[in-house]
Amino acid sequence: MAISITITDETNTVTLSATDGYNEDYQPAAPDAGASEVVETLEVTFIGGNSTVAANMTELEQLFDYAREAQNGMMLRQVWFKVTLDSEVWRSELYDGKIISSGGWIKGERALGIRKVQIVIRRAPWFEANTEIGAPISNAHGSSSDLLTGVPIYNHDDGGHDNYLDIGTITGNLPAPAVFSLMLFSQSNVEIFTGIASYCNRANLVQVLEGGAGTAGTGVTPSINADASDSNNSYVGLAWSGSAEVNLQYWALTSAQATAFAGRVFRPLIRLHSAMGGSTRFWLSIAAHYNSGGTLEKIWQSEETLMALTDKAQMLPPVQLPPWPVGFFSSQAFTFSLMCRCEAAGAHTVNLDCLMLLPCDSYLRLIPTITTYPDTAVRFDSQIRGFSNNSYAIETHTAEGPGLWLVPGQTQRLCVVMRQGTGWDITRNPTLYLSYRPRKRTI
Amino acid sequence: MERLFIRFDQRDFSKPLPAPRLRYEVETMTWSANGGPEEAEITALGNIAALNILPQLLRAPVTVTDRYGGAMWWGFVNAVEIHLGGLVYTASLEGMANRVAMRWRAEDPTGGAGNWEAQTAWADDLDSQSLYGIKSAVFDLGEGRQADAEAARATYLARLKVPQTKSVPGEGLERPYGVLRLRGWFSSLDWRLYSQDRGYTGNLERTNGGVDFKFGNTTGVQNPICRFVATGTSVWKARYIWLKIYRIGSPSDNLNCGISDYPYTTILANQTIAGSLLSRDINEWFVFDMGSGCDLTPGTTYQIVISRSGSVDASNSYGLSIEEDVLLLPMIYYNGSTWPTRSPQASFLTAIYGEEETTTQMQNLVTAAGQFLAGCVIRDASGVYTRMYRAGKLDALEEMVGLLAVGDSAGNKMDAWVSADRWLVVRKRPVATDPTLMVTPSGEVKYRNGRALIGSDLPVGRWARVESLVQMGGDYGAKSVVFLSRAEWRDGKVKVWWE
Repeated sequence: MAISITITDETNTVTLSATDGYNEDYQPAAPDAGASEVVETLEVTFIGGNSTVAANMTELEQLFDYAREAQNGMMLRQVWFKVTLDSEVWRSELYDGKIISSGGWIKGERALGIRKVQIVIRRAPWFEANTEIGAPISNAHGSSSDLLTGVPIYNHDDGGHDNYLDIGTITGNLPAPAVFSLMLFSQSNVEIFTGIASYCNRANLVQVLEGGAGTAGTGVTPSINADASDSNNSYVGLAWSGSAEVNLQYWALTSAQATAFAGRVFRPLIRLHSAMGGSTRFWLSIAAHYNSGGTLEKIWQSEETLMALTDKAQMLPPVQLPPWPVGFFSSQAFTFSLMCRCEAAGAHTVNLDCLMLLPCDSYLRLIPTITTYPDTAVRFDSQIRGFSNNSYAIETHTAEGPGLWLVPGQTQRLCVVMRQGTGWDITRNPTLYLSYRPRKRTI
Repeated sequence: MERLFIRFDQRDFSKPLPAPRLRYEVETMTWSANGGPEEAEITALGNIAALNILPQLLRAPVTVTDRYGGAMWWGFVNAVEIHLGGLVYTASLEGMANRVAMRWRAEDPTGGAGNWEAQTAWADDLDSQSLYGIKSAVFDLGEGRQADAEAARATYLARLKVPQTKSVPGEGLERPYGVLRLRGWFSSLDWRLYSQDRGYTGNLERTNGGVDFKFGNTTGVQNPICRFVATGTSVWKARYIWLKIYRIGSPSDNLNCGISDYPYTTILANQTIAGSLLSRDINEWFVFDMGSGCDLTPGTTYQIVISRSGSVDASNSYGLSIEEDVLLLPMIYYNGSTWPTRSPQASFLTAIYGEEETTTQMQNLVTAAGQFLAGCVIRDASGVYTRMYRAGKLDALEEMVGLLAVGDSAGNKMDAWVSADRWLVVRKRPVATDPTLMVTPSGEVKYRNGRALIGSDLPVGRWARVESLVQMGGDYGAKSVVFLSRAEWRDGKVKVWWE
């Protein structure tokens, strides 16, 4: 089996298996699960005469220094340990390394113009393909499986609009960091919430609960209003009185839908038709009820969150759904409730458009740091957490969360929600690109 | 171990702050049911040049999130350590003060300690305050003069207006690293001394002890009245009048003390007591409780009016201490036909105090001294009323903790929690109904259905059942349902403490 080995930062390259030196017998290590690094020792003979040997060893030491700098966070340019196997190039990020010469090299080896050394490297506990490829993505608005073709999404999910991408088969045997690009030109101050459902049953996954499709709780009077600026062209006004907690709206989830959540984590994002305004404080929470012939019995309730009175978007803390373990059995059907409490007496109204459940098997939130930058043409590399806008490295956004990771062997879905300042315009229509490098524990 | 994420924000909370490109690792975080996030420690690894930027993060808001974006811990950078090979450089907000005052005692030739203590006006460094917020401190000069105190104040301010730095010998290190020491927002209440000028009008603070004034013993001296101007910045409710008032002999009638408007049209609030209740000791204080009290508008003149219900009696009458040096407004009395001003001019030696519900006081405290908090939300009013006047001797954190310790009128504890969006939420401690959480024998906190808590699902401030613990049972037995009052995260594991 012919392999070739190089260490490179894509500008400077030292080859350890042909022109610069011969590797005697490299055996890729198999890291333990959860290992943060792999340490390997390569037996290498540098060739080409003493000056060439010295030059290559110098270059290699420089690359080790660059690798350390990259680990210190000062350089985004990483150094790679690359192995070519059966014409496929795999790479592993190099963290550090050193060269140990053999004893007696001055007497014996210099006369031959060679140097036998041990190269000890610390590298990432994985290999990934050297070539970035497009992830297979599709929704109602298009499909792609290459780097250059994007797929449009909308900022809501209803009959004619998808705010998600279904992701096809991912190769490799380890989760791979995705490169996520969202092209929305002439729009500034866009905050982006993205998440992937990697372990849910995509076919039955509920990711949006329309306001008009639920049932108002006791004491709450609903009124459905048509409005093209809302998801599904309508919102529901939910009116009640008093300071006691009410079940604003609840939705019956079938056993298949409850099971599809698979006990994973979701972030509830609520879209209001109009911000609450005023100064009266409201508190929101999520609850799970068992519906016994129309009588709701509470099983679980999340902590309460203070509503942002000026915002159309209300972000609730992450929740596990269903709030009990699933696996051996299908989940019991349950009622998903949006609870609300106002601190003041009197009449209140919440104009609810929809409640979205952003999957968080992997999660990325891009928060604007420059609110006036004219475009949102962002690219985020989940491996290096590198970010660009309009193809320039500029920190128009800061990233929260681990980034987006694609899991081989799973049917996955990527969901996206955008808000701008206090608004949430459902007509925003960016194009998404998703790429990755298949990743393996070892080759 | 679950990977955590750290976000720094601009000091004015407007948007995220691009932090030095370093590898940040959370070492530890703590939470308390009294205040929420308490302390945290973050290690920063990387290039020495980037580490040197860390002190610029002082007072920057920090949020630690879990992998789902849920907020786990929030607060601010209170100190930065940079560990180099041979030394540890520290820059800290601890000990910094950009608003300074000095207290001093007037010089006393006898060396006695009974002379008055005074305080200078505040001296501010506005540049430092605009960067970090207001951090106040009062120092004590001891015996001296005002000019000395003001000079010392300037010296203190010049030295303390910037983050306090020090370096100590370090241990030999393979690689330099930084440590960010964080504090929760609740603790930032100790940055301000809290004064509340509502709720007190009087002349106690500078009195020399008063002189005796008898009344009701002769037709020529009856019904003393002392006018005063209400102090404070907004309307407050007066309830208590303190007087050094005593009885002479054994009066069998009643004594009435209250507050009227001025010029007199009506009694706004009062209390009538049996004269026999008073002590015969001229130096003993007595407090009149006017029940629901009356509203006093700052800047408006009112009167304390005292009268006996019975006739003049030379043997059985009353007296009170009055103050000739420190006047409210000159007192008058009825001489049988007119209302002369007492000569020499004097005022009652008195204090009028108001009360306010403790939870309202907490809101006022946060408005006045919670410079980094978005506000205070009272979820459950305490129903307990206490004096609201504060002379500015204690910091706002001490005052807040004291108010919380009072609890509510039903005997429940009150807890305060600073939310991730920096609202101080005050509520009575929830009832220990069947809890959804459990503490396993290994110390792990889980839902009782076996589900693990995700990072932002914090256990503090909730009830949990301690599994495998024998419950004594009964109303007074040791409980296996416990209130989780404190938690610590370290190396991916959460330890809890309970009450």
